Amino acid sequence: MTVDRNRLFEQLDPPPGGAERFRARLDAAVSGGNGRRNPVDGWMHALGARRLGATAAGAAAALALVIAVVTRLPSGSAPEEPSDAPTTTAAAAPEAAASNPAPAGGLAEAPELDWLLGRTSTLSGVSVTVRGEEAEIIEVPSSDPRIRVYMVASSSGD
Amino acid sequence: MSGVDEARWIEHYSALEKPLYNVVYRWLWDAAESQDVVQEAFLRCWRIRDRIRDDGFKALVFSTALRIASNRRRRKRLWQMVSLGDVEAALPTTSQAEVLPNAIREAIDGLPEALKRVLLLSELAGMSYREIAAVMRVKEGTIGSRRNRAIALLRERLQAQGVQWNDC
Repeated sequence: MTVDRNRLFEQLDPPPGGAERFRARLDAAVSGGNGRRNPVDGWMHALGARRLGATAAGAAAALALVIAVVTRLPSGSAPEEPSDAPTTTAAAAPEAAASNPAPAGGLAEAPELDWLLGRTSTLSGVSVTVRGEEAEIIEVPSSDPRIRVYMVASSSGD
Repeated sequence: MSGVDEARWIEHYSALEKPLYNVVYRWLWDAAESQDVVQEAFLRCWRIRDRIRDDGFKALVFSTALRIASNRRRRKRLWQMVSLGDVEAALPTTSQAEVLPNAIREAIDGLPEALKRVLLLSELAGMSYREIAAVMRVKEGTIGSRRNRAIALLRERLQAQGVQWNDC
């Protein structure tokens, strides 16, 4: 099939009676306020759009504020425990550390971090509690001087 | 266009109806709706006639009509997508559907919108590059290259559908 430019861009006739229909529409527009948008309506419309925008922005800001308050409450409303009540004996061995929870004063105050934070070590020794009773522990020789290994001595035949 | 009366406005309509209709028709492929878009564009411009400069009137009417046509086409496509892409509904319903073969329609339809506007405004509305630039609000220098690209792309698309464009 072959087409030429005239066929491709053929000028088609619009449906007949277009001018008459347009005249009727224009008359209707003119009789309904001279075809111009009522300035008061326009102003109200603009105000409405502006008010809607302001309301949406206000609602978004309020929501953001509520989210910020809610997400900050847990850390802000729980005051930190004073660090003057050590509840456990410091321990360097993993086993001992597992049985001794971190001090309530916060992680930074844990005696295990004394060396890292440049504080004088307060570690006095290692103790392990088994079923509520302090168990005897034996230090096992370690090939690495930086690692100390302890063994819990079986005291009750466990 | 300050001070223009209804009779004069209808004269403007009659003078521009056909070229405007032809451009819009290639957007919507529906005769009745295309004519409605042309009239709607003239009515919208009538409401702001006091602010329209005489030399910018044609560009304003064309750009308004193209904007309305573009929106209606988008809405139509969305509606077709929502209604599970009803192929029958996508086909033109007027007798003019047969006037232009589907191959031509599909080739024009497949052009990118910016290129299609330039091509249709230059070929169907007979507008100069300056007028097209005013309608599209782009620099006049870009119109020529866009038109050339549109023609090349249209030729390619027609060939893909087995239609040879005899450009003489």
